[in-house]
Amino acid sequence: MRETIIQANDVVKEYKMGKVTVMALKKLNMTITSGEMLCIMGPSGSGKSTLLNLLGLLDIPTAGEVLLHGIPTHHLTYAKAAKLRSQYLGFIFQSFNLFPMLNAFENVEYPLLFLPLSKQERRDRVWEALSDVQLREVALHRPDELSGGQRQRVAIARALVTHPLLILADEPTANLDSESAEAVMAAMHRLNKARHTTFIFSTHDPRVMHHATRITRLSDGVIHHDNLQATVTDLVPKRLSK
Amino acid sequence: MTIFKQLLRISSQNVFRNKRRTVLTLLILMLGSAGLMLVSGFFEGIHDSFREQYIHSQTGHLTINAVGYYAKGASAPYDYLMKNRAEVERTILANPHALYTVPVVKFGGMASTDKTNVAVLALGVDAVGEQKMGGHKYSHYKGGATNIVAGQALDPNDPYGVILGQGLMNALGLKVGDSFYFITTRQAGAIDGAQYTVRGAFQTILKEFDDRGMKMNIGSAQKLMGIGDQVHSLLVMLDKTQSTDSVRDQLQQAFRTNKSGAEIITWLEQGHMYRHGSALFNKIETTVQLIIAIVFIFSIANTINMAIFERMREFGTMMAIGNSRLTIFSVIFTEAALIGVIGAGLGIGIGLLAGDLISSFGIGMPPLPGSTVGYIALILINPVICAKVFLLALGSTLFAALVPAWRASHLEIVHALGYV
Repeated sequence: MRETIIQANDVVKEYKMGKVTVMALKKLNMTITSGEMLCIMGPSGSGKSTLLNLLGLLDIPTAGEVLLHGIPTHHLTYAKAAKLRSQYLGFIFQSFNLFPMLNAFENVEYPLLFLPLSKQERRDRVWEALSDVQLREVALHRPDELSGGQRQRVAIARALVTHPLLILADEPTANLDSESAEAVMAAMHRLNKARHTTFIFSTHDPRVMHHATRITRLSDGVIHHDNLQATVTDLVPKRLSK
Repeated sequence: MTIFKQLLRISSQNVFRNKRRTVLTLLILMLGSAGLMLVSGFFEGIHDSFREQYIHSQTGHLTINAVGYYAKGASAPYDYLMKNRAEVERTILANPHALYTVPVVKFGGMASTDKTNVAVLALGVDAVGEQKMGGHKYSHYKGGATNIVAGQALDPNDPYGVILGQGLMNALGLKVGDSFYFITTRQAGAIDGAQYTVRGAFQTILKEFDDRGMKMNIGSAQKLMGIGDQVHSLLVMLDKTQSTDSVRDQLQQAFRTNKSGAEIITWLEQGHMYRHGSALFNKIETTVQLIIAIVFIFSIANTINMAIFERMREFGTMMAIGNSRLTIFSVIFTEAALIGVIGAGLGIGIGLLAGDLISSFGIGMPPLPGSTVGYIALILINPVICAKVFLLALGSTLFAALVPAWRASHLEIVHALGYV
């Protein structure tokens, strides 16, 4: 029985741009269960990043609600939302967002500094996460000494190290060449299969969609397709799949 | 503790991320702190010169009188004579900080030559003690606290030899070796006088005293006044000026115990001119400190703001990971504190070296207001100055970091993550 990790109910998100109000998400409903590897695809401006921000408690919806592990998040204070993020969520960013002054080991260790763990427990978890993304050998390298693919895998390890319920990745392969992109997605895929880590990633790169167990297509703030176990070719526009 | 150590480590690494900017900020802090050290040290040097010259030429560290003399003695000098001088002196010298005493009688009179009469403030002093006190040398003074600018000092074996303040000698139109008449009122009310010879002329820090003051042997003064071996005051010289208050307290207690009936006035209580001068110098020093603090705050706030703009996405990431606002604030604040500590520390080091270097030459200074004696100023830097400069530099840095740190810790996460 898969448990519900996160649930979005009638979520609306509006942005004010000068005098114009833009509705980025329009009464969106979505449920994500444990072990899924959900791909949110759609063109630029479709609301992918907005949705990930709301699901990651980085932003609050204009209307509707997001439940994380059954906890309503709409009225949380900054501190409580931060605590939930540190306990339940991991993040992977398009630009990796590693701390440049810390080496790979320290970057992965960083989120653990704020959890009640002993030094030895922290070290064990960091080595485990680095092993999961096959980067033990570059543990002492700083980000500027790593390739793009390696940096993103360090970011995956950092997201993974707290054993979160859910990892959100906003276009994780957008800044990578195809080989590195495939390596990163393979790492995520492997973790999903082996550890049942739940992933939500957004992309408009059709090359990486086959790693998903579920693909949701978003357009103009509305879900157009939400097909469990969908095949990539069903959803990718014809001209792209050729 | 672990979090604090890690934050400190992260902050210390961040401090030198943009080396050029950090070096520039450190330079501002270093030069500002060093400048402040020199200014404060210079004023401390002036305070020190002023204070020590005043003490050694006028009042001693403590002046012990018969009770009531300080308030009313000027109008009725014969009513406030110390009758138990020997006992009081014994009590004073029993204190380990007291080096010696100089007995003094103070009275008014008229000096006459064939051309003019001038009202005189006469001091009967112990010639040996007075020379010891007035000749007290400081490495940074041109002379002693009482400079003999012409002729010789008092001679205890010359009962009719006196020394005159330079201004008084000029007013009387006398030179060394000349004689003049001095008349005063004796205790019994009769007028008496004698002919005295000018042995020398002196100069002290107080022009006012130099224009009216005359010093003669205490025995001659007592004889002229008809007061036996009684004195008005005992000037007490201590091992160091800083002992003044504690010795005063101890002597007060001792006088109460043995019922000596003596009053104790410290040099500071008598030093109106010193107090006013000090207040002026303190105001100037505070203004300089304020200006430097403002320079610190603006330049450091600018540096921190620039650093925060560059690291906006990093702060967004920290928040996304789950860092509290306090953590973000602490990281920035710790970075500012590190810059403040390093900058202030280096500034103090440079200030100490520069102060020593300048003091090895000395700064020739004109006479202070109310004085005719120039002096060599030194840069006197003490631990209090070091602590004040350190706190000012660090405090300014932390103050400058407050607003930027608060703003960074209250960024919207999505906005910060999307910042390019």
